[in-house]
Amino acid sequence: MILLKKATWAFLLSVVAVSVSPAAAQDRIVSVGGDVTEIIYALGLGDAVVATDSTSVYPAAATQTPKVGYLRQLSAEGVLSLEPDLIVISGAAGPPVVIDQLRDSGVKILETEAAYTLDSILKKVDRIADLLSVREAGAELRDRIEADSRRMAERVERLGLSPEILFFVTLRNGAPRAAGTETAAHGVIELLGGVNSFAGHTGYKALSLEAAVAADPDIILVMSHHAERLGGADAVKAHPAISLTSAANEGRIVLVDPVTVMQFSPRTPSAVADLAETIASRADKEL
Amino acid sequence: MSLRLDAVSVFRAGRAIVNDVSLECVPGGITAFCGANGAGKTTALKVLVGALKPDKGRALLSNQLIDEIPGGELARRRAAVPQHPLLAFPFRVHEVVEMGRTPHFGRVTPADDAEAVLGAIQSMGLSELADRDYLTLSGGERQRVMIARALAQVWFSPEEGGARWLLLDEPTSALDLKHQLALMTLLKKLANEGWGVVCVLHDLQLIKRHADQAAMFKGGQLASVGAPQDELTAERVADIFDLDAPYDLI
Amino acid sequence: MSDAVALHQGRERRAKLVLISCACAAVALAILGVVIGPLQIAPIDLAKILIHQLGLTSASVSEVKSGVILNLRIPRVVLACAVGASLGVAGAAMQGFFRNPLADPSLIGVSFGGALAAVAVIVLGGAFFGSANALLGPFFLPISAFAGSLSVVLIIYRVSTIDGRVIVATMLLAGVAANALAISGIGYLTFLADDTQLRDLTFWTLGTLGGATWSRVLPAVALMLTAIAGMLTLARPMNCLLLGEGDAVALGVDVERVKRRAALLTALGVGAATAVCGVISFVGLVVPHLVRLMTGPDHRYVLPGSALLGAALVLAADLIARLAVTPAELPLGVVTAALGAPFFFWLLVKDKRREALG
Repeated sequence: MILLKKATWAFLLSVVAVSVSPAAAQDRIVSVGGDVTEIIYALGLGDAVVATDSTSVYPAAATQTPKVGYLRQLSAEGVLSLEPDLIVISGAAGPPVVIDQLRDSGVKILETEAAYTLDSILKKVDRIADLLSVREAGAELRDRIEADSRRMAERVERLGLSPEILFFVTLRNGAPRAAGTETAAHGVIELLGGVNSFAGHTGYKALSLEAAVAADPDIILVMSHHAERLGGADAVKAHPAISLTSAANEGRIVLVDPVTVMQFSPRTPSAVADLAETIASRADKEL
Repeated sequence: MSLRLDAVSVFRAGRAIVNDVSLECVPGGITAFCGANGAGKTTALKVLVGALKPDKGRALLSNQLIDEIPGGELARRRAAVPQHPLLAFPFRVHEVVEMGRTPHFGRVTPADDAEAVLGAIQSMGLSELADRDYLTLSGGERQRVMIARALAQVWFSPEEGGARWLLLDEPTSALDLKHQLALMTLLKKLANEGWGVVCVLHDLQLIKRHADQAAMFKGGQLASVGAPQDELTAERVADIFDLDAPYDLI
Repeated sequence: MSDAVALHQGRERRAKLVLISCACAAVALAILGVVIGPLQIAPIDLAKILIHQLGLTSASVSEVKSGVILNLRIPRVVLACAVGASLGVAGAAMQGFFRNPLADPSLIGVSFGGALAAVAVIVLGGAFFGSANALLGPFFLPISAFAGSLSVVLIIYRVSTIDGRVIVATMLLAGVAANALAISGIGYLTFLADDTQLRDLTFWTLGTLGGATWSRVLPAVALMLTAIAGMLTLARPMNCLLLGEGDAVALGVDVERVKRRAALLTALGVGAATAVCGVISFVGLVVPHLVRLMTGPDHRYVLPGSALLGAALVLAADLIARLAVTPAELPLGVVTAALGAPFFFWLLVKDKRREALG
């Protein structure tokens, strides 16, 4: 009986899918923002994507499309020159006047919010799936994200009482920038159940070396590509500001992959779960 | 008809660099300002030009306060050549001379302007250089171009009436002997035609030979005015220039 | 007599020819700017869009294409013309004002002064300037930038003149200081700015015409045209000013008034341009120089010539900016600096050689 019901549903859905997907397949989509690009590909609509921005690096197919530049420095006609039927824009895109120009262009446009919570990921999935009439794939993706989120919550629980976390987004040239509130990095800290040591500021701000030492966070997170540029995790540890912190001495410096963790895309919960795991294992080992 | 300073003082940093100077220059002759460096000659000349407003006293052109004469009218009645020309752009010589015609813009025909420019160029012996870039000229050549510009400015009698005036600050400083004499001869000729000429001159010989009136400045004050023959005696020269012994001009 | 007249007429004829050529180049590039872009639009469609806009036929071309032409390209081309002309004339006027051919609005900090004021308005916005903002509406940003530019002009002039003579080295060094100060100010405001505003700020230091929308373009263009028209009337007195202030006075020029106007109008032109498209460097340096090479230094030709060539140059640079990396876009300031900085080096070397010879 249950089987039958399932089969009926599957049939009905596939009819819907068949009747809808051709329309979707004809769409030419320009996708701006790593998160929305990832969602569109995850919904199985990658073939419709005719161009992406430079932050869209996953999946690999997205890197093969023409690039409309960095998402904060778009050119209106550049985007329109790809003759899109739909432009999907991440909340981080700009400059604002170009977004205005795109809104006025007459092309259908979907703007997602720049928010850094689990809900915001689900909301992005729902809106894109709705608009592109792939509700079934949307529901599937949603289920997967929710499952990952539950796994993430379990891992985060293992971290225990809210640790103080300092998140460096750059470490170059001895002038580190740390993440304040209203940033993706702050969102990640919250997902980890932590407290941002730099919460007194908004945005990404320069942090004096001494202040970093004085804050003495439990955990220091560093964007992995900046760490690589410095010469890996050991080089980060040896950084004059960081080497003096107890987090460094006790090995609680963790590298964060900016794409999977920080774009608040479907892969984020799983990546944060892994991150929590890493942090927890370090903490277990050292404490 | 005269150009006159009436009890003029100019103060700089609390010090009178021109102190209570009264002087009358009349057209038809050359008045030479003579004196040591810093005696106030150039400043007094600037007051006569109208480029500097006296702190005390009055500067008058034909009994009219110079301050109160509109800039354009004043420029049609008198022309001035400063000590150090500042032009740093590659104008052609004839274009520089043509700038002298600026105060006449819209008032005379282009043919008149061209005549004045050409006349001034020829008077200063610059015909060969007319199409040269000003910046490629020597210091003496530049000085002659600037004088030609002043000549072009007052080439015709002013529509407002009265004499034409030329006010020159050390016009011979960069000139060789030949051009010094040519210039003084020209100024003399113009004076004879009824122009008023006032110039700051350092060369006492030139003053003695060519000027009609010598104004002797010392320490910001006008020590004396008179015929060059009377003013440039060995004792007077020693006094004006603070020399230890009398100085005879040959 | 006929010699001088002939000389005069020869150069005048040549100068007029140069002006006409520059005007033709500007018009051709403006047309090109409307016709060419990342989005391919057939000339026939373009014609249909324009004819439709004049109300002669019903629409038959896609909304997107006509939107690109009418709301993206045309305002952009209009802005490019105005900005180029404005910066060109302002550069020429500034060089006359400082009596020095190395003065340039971006080099001596006038552009960044405007940018700093504009950034201050954006970041501090409502909190500080609420009532002025309400009063001036769309003019508020360009007028603030104008005020910023004007302050820099006055400071630089104050610092670099002795007895009315400009000390060139001091002027350039004061410009370095002014630029550093303005950039540090922008940096500080960047620190205060939130993330959304920050996206706006990157745009100021590397100018672009990408933000050309009618509502932003029109007020700024009105101010720039005022500045250009005003500066064109200063040609004759500015020629005299080149002789030195004493000489200009002797020629009957009201020097103080001319200087005041030149400073105000330059700041207005540069400020208004900076307010809509950020700092676009070197146009004010390169353009008057090229014009002077062709027409001679007479401002009666240099000023209009700089307007026309400036418009042509910015239109050309913007075409490069738009087409070089389609569908993305280069900042226009990058293109103009890439063209202008080597030119500046060349000027310095040329001057050095002349000094060595002279």
